[in-house]
Parts: sequence; structure tokens; C-alpha cells
Amino acid sequence: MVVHDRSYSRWDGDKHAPVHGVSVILERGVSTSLASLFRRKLFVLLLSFAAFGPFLMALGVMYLHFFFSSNPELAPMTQSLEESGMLEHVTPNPDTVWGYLFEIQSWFGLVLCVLVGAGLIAEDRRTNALELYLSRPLRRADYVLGKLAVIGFFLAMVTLVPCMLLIVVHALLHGFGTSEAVVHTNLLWRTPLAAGVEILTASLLVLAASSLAQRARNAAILFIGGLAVVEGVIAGLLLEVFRDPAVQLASIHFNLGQVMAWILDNPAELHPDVPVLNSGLVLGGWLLLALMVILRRVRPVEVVA
Amino acid sequence: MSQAVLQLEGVSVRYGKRLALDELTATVSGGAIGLLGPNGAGKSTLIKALLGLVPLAQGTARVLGADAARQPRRLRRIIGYMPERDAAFPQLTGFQATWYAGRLAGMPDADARRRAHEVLLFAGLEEARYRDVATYSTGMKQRVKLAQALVHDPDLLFLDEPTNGLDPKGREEMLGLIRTLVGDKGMHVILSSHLLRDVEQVCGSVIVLRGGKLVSQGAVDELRLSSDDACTVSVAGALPGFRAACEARGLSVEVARRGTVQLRFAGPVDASVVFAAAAEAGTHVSSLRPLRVSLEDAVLAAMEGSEERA
Repeated sequence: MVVHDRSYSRWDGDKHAPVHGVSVILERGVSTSLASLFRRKLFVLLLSFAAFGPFLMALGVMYLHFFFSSNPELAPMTQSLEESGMLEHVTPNPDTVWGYLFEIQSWFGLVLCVLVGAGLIAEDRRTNALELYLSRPLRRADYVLGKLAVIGFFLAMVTLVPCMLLIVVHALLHGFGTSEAVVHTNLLWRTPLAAGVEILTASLLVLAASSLAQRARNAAILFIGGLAVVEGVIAGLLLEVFRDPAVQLASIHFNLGQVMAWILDNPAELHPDVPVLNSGLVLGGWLLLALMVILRRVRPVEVVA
Repeated sequence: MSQAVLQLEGVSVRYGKRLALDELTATVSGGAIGLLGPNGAGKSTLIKALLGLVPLAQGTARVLGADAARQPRRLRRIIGYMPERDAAFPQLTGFQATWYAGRLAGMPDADARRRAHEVLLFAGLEEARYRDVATYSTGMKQRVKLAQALVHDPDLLFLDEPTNGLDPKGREEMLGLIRTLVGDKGMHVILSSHLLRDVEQVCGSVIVLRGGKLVSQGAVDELRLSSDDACTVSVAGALPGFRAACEARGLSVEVARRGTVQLRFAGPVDASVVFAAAAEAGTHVSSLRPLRVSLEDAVLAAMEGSEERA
């Protein structure tokens, strides 16, 4: 028979060891969110297939091209693959990477923002967990950084990771001694930077919405609704009324696209009439506003004076 | 001399324009300390100020020798806090929530796991530890909050209304756990409550607040002694005659029970007056002791006193 000692015993560990609050929150947040996501198995399966499918296909095409071109007897197949135009779409360059990050994968990021990000602070507010977090040896900044890291992790999984995989595999297959070497070398640092701006923007905006609500569902509605109002109503309406490209600065999406195109050195996607510096400043303003909202809402005590 | 658990010097806290704590000055040594006062007295605010969760408008607060305003993170390593309202990490079981609380307090993973099991056993949640906290009853939620506050083995434990919402049995069990922590394990506990019986059962000293001001402070036994103008007297013989003799000497007399009266003097108790009255009535005094009142009466008297002074 097992006999449990029910008395209280003291802990002789080090009570002054450094606290790694951000990594603890990240670890717990990721595992809780994964468990929550995997309760919707079919949906997650479809989402993963849609999010990673294009990349797997691109990797397959890149490998086939490499395999065919390294076997002279398969030259006709190499030729037909090159003529099909598929290679142009899968070869990493500033334009394809911008397209992957900003136009395709951002939709999956949006879905993850709703499924994962919306509840990160809202649910803590609903269950009064903020008081529990902040009565531990954590700063508010640790808590916010931890939550940012959780949503950032998921967003990176559908944006940064597949893009970097594509670039690295392409570089490995074709070597750094080719004419594409400079492009690859640049993309190796430009892509994380551009993806980082995209992830930071989405993360801060969804956490700001989450901090304003007390339920994940309400935060998701606020996030999507807020984006719809800013993008569709304000920016769209201003453009319709004034017909001036400069009013697109009101759009977060437009500014993010400009900044990412500039980072990736993709002039084709830069608007000629709107300086990228202005877009950067407006985007920075939105991020600052989101951060201020989060810090204002993440408090252990709600003061109603 | 042992280190004071709390040293407050002119501590004030403001919520906007409202003064929640008004220049509190007190020094409290170890053991179990009761924080008493009606709702809105500032008990929870004082605890939050000591944890560094709300800023001090003025004054200094030292907890276990460390400045609460300047070293809040250092303090939170050695303080456990059980909040008054329902609070839980969402979507976690009792075990996960307690383990997570330990990890957030800086414990290594393996230690946090082991301790989580230990404190959940101590708190009586052995069977329910793998259930989602959201499915717990009120009593179980109180217990898991206690376990989370204890997991990192704090030197000082802040308990904010720990018996709220508990049935009599649960309340007794919770107070029993607190007594064990203080008596057997030497932990310092600050117990905030508006239930004086809880404090009376557990605490050795109290701080009484009202409207953010310090009303009274001291050992419970001292507070239960009324001021030096009253005593309880047991007499053998005719009580009516003794009563009349006392009243003739200007004393206020209240019969407590058969053969025992409570006497109140205009000034300090003078035993010779009592013996003289007894001799006159043909009775003799079998005991004379300072009047002891319940903590409730003492606190109410202190509050009334503070109201009159204001």
C-alpha cells in the first residue's frame, strides 16, 4: 500500500536563481495552444496541408530539377520542366519570397492569430490569471514578451520557417558559387527581417485586441473587425474620396507590404508615389499604439478611480 | 533580535484621487498576523502594495528586510500570494497550474513537478489534481490557490480572505492548514479577513484598518484585554448587596453570570475599592481579573474609538 506524506515539507532549492519567465510562458503557451488546436483535428490537418503544401511542392520541383539536370540522360525532362515555367514560381528571389510571405502565408497567419493569439491575454483576463502572473517574480514586460513569443512562434511556423527552408534547400542544391549566390546570401538575412516585421505587426495587433477583451471569441471579433474597419472603411473610403495614393498610408496592410518589399529589395512592389519611409513611420506608429494598449491593459490591479 | 516581517513607515497608496491607504506606520514581527477591517478598509490594497503590484504614493514598506517598492521581484521569490478573487491559469489542470506557478517563481522543472504534487497532497487535492481547475468547486479552487502560493516554499505567505465561499467544514480545514504552516513549519503568514473568528483562531497579532487608516495594532491577547478601567469579579455571598455597594462607590456594574460581575471604573481599576465594597456587603471576593473581551468587541471598540477621534 502506498502511504503518502500529507505534511508540508520545505524546499531546499535556490530561491535566488534567475527567473526565465519569457521562456516558461512561451513553453506553456505553445503546448496549451497546440493541445487546443489539435482538438480540431480535421481543421488543423487541412490548415497544415494548405499552409505547407505549396512549399512541399516547391521543394519537390526544385529537387526534381536538380535531379534531372545532374543526369545528362534526363536532359529532355529538365528542358520540359524549365519550359513549363514552374521553376520561376518556386525559385526563391525577392519577388517570390515577398509573395509567399505577404500574399499567401499571411492568410494562414491571420487564421492563427484568431485561433491562438486572440485568447492569449483575453483568457488570462477572464480568469484573473494576470494577478497570478504578476505576483510572481515577473515584470509586465516578461509577460508581454512571453505572449508575443507564443503567437510569434506559430506565425513563424507558417511564414518564416517554410520560406527559409526553401531558400536554404535551393542554396544547398545549387551551391553558393553560382550567379544566384548574392541573391541567396541577401535573402538569408532579408527574409528573417521581413518576416520578423510581419510577425511583430500581426502579433502586436492581435495581442492588443486580446488585451481589450475578456474572451477569446470577443478578441477575435475585435481583431478582425478592427482590421476590416481600418483597411476597408477608413483606408478604402479615403482612397475613393480623395483618389490620392498617399491616403493608402492609413492602411496597415499597405504599409506592411511597402516595408517588407523594401527590406526584401523588391522594387516591383514599392508604390512609386508613397515613400517607404512614410509607410515605415505609420506602421511604427500603429505598433507603438498597439504596445501602449497592451501595457495599459496588462496590469495586476484594475484601478477604477 | 529577530527581523521584523513588516515595517511600514508613512505608507500611502492612491487610486486616482482616492486615498486607499493613509500614512500607515507599523512594525510587525513574525508568526501569523491578521489584517482586519471591514470591506474597503484597505486590506487587499496593503497586500498588493507589499507585493509591489500597486505603487506607493509615499512612505516606505519593508518586507522581510527588503524594500517592497525597490525590490519587488526579489520579494516575490520569497512571498506566496493567494488572491481574494477567483484566479486560475486558463485551460490547466490543478497539477499543471501548480507546477506552472512554481516554474514562474523560478523553480527548476523537476523540482516544480515534485513540489506541485507535494503541496497538492498537503492541500487535500490528491484526487482532483488532474482535473481542469475550471471544473473545481469553490472550496477546491481555494485549495489550489493555496497550493500555487506554497509551491515555491515562500518564507512569507499573504492570504487574502482564504475562507471566502467555504462551508464550515472547508473553513475549518483551511484554517487547520494555515495553523500547520505557522505552527509546525515556521512560516510567516499575513491573513487578511473580515471574519474575526478566523483571525482569532490562527493569528497571534493583528493590524486593524478602517478607511485606509491604521486603527489598532498589537498581539491578539493584548487587544482582548480591555483598557485598564474594567475588571471581572467573582464573589461568594449575596450578589445584590455587593452590587449596591459597588454602585454606591460610583462603579458601573454588569452581572455577567451567577456570582460574577463586570465592574467599570471612572479611572483605572482600584482593587481596594472592590474589597471595601465586598466587606460592606458581607461577601468576599474569590477572583478579580482584568476584563477579557472577544476580539470582535475589541476591534469594534477600536474602530469606534478611531471614529470618535476623527
